[in-house]
This record gives sequence, structure tokens and C-alpha cells, in this order.
Amino acid sequence: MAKEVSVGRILKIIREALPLIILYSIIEIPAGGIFSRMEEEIRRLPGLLLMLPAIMDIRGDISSSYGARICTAYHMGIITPETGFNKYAMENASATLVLTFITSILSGALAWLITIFTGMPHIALVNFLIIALVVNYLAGFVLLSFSYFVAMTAARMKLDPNNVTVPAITALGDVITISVTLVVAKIMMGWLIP
Amino acid sequence: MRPRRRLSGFIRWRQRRKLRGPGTASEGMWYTMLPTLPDILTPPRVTSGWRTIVSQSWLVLCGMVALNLISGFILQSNTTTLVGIPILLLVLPSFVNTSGDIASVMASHLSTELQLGRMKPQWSDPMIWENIASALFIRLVASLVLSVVAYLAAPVLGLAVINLLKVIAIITIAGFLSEVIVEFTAVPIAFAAFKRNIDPNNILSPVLTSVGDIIGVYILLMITKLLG
Repeated sequence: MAKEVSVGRILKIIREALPLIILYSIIEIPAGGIFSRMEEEIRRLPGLLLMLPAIMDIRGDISSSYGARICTAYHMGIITPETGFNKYAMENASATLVLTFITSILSGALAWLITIFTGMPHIALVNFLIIALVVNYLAGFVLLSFSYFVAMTAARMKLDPNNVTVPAITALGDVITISVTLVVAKIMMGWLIP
Repeated sequence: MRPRRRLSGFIRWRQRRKLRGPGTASEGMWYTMLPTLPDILTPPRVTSGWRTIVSQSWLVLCGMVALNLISGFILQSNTTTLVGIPILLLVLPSFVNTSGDIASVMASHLSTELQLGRMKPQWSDPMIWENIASALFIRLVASLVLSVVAYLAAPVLGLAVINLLKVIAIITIAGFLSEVIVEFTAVPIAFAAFKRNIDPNNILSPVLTSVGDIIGVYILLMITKLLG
């Protein structure tokens, strides 16, 4: 156990985390750009805008706690680059699949309820649920593989995965989720269930 | 008697299933692999595997869904303040996420060190202050870089340019303040979760990214009203 504050450990965290956090904060600027291109979809799919922040945030939450668990498991020696994607990584990944299902259903249903109660124009409940589920699972699959890859790459480069993995997921998570939503919304516009 | 026998049969089936372990195709049927509601809601005896993770984090995540739907609703009413200074709209997503990013780096550290026993769940532990100090320093530098990048990018994107010093002051002060608040919410949550035998990984980063989003936007609005 540490007895007193060590400048060395502070500098190690700063040295490993600072460049990547600056990089990620610059990467996130285009996310707003993609967002502004979605006017057409937002107009044709009323209610999508309400659900979007929730979907984006939940996607980041689930994936980043997955990433954080992978980091802890790496420090415990359970999941390392040598062991590869083993049973424990699989348990973690299946937990995120169950959580994704629960939260997608909830965010779709709640967004639909809010539009009903406030009398906003809205699409049918089925459409909300389909969009939430498809976006969450597609983006989730990309993000899970990505976070495992980042954590293991950081470990191979002798960096502490704690410093790198979670910000990578939250930063790229938004860009990936918005792009997937754009594609799904474009497809859904032709296949709306009345 | 018939319904009771059927019920006990179901319980026996579930016990058989549990003995062979969750998530295995124990009876050769695909549906035995699906989680049932009790699987999701009740914490299991053995504290590892997907059931622990799901039962520890589903409630927090559902709360975050509700919080985000509400905050998305509230934020729409405040857009007028931001539209006055368009450069702030450009940095808003990035600014807001950075507090969550940095806080979750610290959350990840805290969870790992607590579970490895290298850190005690007390404020007096020096490792906590090392983490807080490095997070605040990273935030200062990241805010400075972000405001300069936004200032340089604004004319390219055709946005109105305001004083560089004002941009730096707003973004840096707001960033530092929101980081302080987020850091000091993170530590008590981590301690409380760890003392209750809950893996802080499951709770901390979801809560911090959402709290960072909401606090970030409000502090940015407040500082903009004060300085602008």
C-alpha cells in the first residue's frame, strides 16, 4: 500500500492519458458534424431526436464498464494478451449483450411514452424498439471488439490499459453510434411499420 | 395438487440448470441458454460471471436511460444561450465528453486499485489524491488545447469569431470546475460500492459519463452567462 503521494505515479498517469484524451476530444468535434446532417431523418422520424442522447449515452456506458472490467481483469492476470479472448472475456461480453437488450427496450418504450404524454408527433412503438435494438447491437458489437483490441494493444505496448481504454470507447462510441444511427434511420425511413 | 407439482417441477428444472452452470446448453435445447428474469434480478451465490455483472448494473443503467431522456428534454429549452456564441456549440459535444472521459480514467484506476487491495477505501489514501491531481492537470491542458483548436477551426467552418482570450477563459474555467465536481462525486461512489461488495466498474463509469454530460452543460451555460 502506498504511504505518501508519489509524483512519479502522477506523472505516469499524465504521460499516458494526456495525449490520447486531447486526441479524443478533437476526434469528437466531427460527431457534431454528422449530427447536423441528420435533419432529414429527424424530420421524417419524429421522436428519434428524443431517443438519440439516451441511446448514445447508454452505448458508451455499457461499453465503458466492459472496458473497465477488462482492465481490472488484466491487472489481476485473468485476461492478458497471452490468454487471448478466453472464458472470462466471454462472460463479460455476454453480460453486455443482456444489458444492451434491457436498456434498448427501456429507452425505446420510455421515449415512446414521453411522446404520447407530451402530445408530440411520433412513430409507432415497434419502430422505436427496432431502431433502439438494431442501433445498440450493431454499435455494441463494433465497440466491444474495439475496446478489447485497445486494451490488449495498450497492454502489449506496456501502457496501463486503465489510462487508455475507457476514453477511447466514450470518444469513438459517440462517433460510431451516430454513424450507425444515421444508416439505420435511412433504412428505416423506407420500412416504417404504421 | 396438479399446479403445485408443475411448479415444483419448474423449480427442480431450474436447480438442475444452475448446477450445470449458467449459460451452458445444459439440456440440449437452445432456450436453456436464454437468461430468465430471476437470473437477471437476483445476485448469484458465486460472485463471478455474467449474472453478477448484469444484476449489479441493470438498475444503474436503467436510471441513466431515464436521466438522459429527461436531460435531453431540459437542454432543448437552453439552446438560445448557446446559439449566441456559435463557437461554443462546436465544442459542446467534445467539452461535455471530456469530463466523462477523464473521470472514467480515474474511475477505472480506482476500481482496479481497490480490488487489488493496493488502495484503501478512505480519503486519507494518497493514491486518491494522486489520481485527482493528475485528472485536474489533464483537464487544464486538454481545455486549453480544445479552446485553441476551436478558435482556429471556427473561421474555417464559417462561424462568427470572438475574442481568443474569452474562449480560453470560458472553456478552461468551466472545464476545471466541472472536473472538480465530477471527481469528488466519483470517489464516494467508488468507496460505497466497494464496501457493499459491488464491483465499482459496473457502476462508476456509467454514472460518471452521465453526470459529466449534465454538469458540463450546466457549468458551461453558467460561465458563459457570467463572462459573456
